[in-house]
Amino acid sequence: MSYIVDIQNLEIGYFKSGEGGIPLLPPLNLSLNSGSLVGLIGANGSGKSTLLRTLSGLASPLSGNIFIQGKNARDLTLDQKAKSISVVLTDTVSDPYLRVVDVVSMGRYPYTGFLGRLSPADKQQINMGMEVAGVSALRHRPITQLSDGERQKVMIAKAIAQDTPIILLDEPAAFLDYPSKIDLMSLLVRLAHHEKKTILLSSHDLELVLKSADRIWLLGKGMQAVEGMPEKLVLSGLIGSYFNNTQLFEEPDDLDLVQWNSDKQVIFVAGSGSRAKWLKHALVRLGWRLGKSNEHAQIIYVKEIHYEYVKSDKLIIQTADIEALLQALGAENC
Amino acid sequence: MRPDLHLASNKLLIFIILTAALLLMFVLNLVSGSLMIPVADVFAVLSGHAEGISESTVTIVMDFRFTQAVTAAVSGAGLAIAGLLMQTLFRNPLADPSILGISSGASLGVAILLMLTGSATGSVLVLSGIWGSLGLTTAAFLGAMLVLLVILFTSHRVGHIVSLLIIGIMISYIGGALVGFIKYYSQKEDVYAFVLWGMGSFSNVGKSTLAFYSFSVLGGIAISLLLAKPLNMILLGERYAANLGLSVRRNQWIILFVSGYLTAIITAFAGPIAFIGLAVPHIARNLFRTSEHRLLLPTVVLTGAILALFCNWVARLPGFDGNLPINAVTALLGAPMVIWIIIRRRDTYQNDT
Repeated sequence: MSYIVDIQNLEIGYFKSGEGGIPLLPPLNLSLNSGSLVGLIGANGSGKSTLLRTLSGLASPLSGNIFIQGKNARDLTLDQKAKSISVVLTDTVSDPYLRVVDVVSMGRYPYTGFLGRLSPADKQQINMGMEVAGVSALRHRPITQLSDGERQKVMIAKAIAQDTPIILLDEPAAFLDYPSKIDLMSLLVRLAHHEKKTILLSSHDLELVLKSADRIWLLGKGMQAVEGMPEKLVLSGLIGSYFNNTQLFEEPDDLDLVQWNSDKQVIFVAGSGSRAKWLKHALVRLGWRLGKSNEHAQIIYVKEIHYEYVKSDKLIIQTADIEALLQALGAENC
Repeated sequence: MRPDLHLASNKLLIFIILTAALLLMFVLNLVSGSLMIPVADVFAVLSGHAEGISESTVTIVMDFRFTQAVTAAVSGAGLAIAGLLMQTLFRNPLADPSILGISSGASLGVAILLMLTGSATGSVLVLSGIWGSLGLTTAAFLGAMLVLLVILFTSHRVGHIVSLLIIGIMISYIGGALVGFIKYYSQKEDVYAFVLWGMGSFSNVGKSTLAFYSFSVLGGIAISLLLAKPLNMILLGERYAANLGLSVRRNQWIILFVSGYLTAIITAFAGPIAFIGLAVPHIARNLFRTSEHRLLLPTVVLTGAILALFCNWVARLPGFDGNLPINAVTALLGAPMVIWIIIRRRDTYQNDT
């Protein structure tokens, strides 16, 4: 299995004159799978933005290596980087005469010649970007007149126009109201799962990231970074230990779950308690619809220690590991 | 496709109007002055059929007014481009060619020259003859280039481009302070000569230096026309530009150099002409309602030339007894224009945070 992004012994931080590099975290060893949405979470000052900047080449690593599609990032030219990774930053574009279409068009600049003339294929990609991000109707509006949510979608449209396999987003959901957050995340889920983009986003909004991300990267000041499935990290208690406040989030209620897509069948979860709640959380995130009774063909029984997955009255797997359970479920229903 | 087509024909129309306005302003500059010359005579002189037209008319049109009009057009275009480059580079609508202290360097050069020659010879040598004007130009150019070199050298050592802006403004203050010292210890005549230089004039370029001056400025403008793509990317901010594959530092350096070079050469020959560099980019953006530099750069060239010719025409209107100081005219005409644009486009400048 080769990763689209592979981080090996990467030290991130900043350079201080006289003292050299000051690392923010122990060396990182992390990787990204193609077509996955990964949430980067951690308390303020834990190095989320620095990591994103380092990965996108906007900041230099102190040591270690980043491999992008198998190639060491140090050996990539600016142009090659521009065609591999696009970014959505917290920087605001403030020129009052820049229209949406102008900003999105600049996503094609790595592909155009010296004067930036756009080919018909470029224009098609620009229109596609605006279409997918849902900002086609805003194309002639000045970027300064858009709401925060619309602006974020325009920058995502620019990233789509840039046609990179990897998109990095720094706090894209900050400053958005709840409906805009859900709107934004459903766009990102769609991009990852349907357009096969690899998406890494940082966020303060723990609940939102847990609901949508396929994997979580957990950073804490001076702590070893942890990677894993959202619900598994919650159930293991790890997430709480990376934030100072352990009462940071509540257990999910069925009504709060967001169905990003419902391409899978109905499944019934029999049981209650924290583990059942987080199991439902994971199932909904993965596109399952939750059944109301045990008359459905597929049932998961949440027992004291382990889970039992039963399909058409046949026991498929009995395991204590939620990740193994969901893998078996996926294998059985693909 | 229809709205795009509509837009394209609109653009063409605006360019045709601008070109027509440029030609009209140019001819007006040849016709008008303390002595009005009939349009027919002007065209006759220009086309080389000067039979039956007095010798003095030919001299006025060709040697004085034509030279001055070309100088005005070229200087206006160059200053406007330099202003646009500064505004885009610093992403600041208040930036202009003088913001990096380059024209203040030119002033210092001129002040030093005036003081040295004044105290050495006891007379205002620099005001007289071709050596005087050549000396002024050289001193101003050396002063401007010295500041430009300092800025370019510093640009590698600052973390953020805004720091450079602050350094430039500080250099302006230092230059201004030094000029103040020199003025204080100078003779009255020298100070007056300095004040005259500081008001700017398009009549300093002689017939013999016109070609050299024009090519020097047009060369800088030509290079700037090739910078449309990096300029557009810089509008998104340095980090977005870098992510789009732009070598940000190198391009910032090139933009600084081109803008600084244009400012230095124009200030050396025409004095510190204020306001055109600040106002014209705003006018041009408003004409097309765009920040796309492939459109802005040529528009700024045309509009800058038109505005400078217009100001030069107003400054030499009959009744003003020869030359009004060009700097007074540019600000007096330019400032209300910018105010009008900002008020009219109120909506555009909202939500700007």
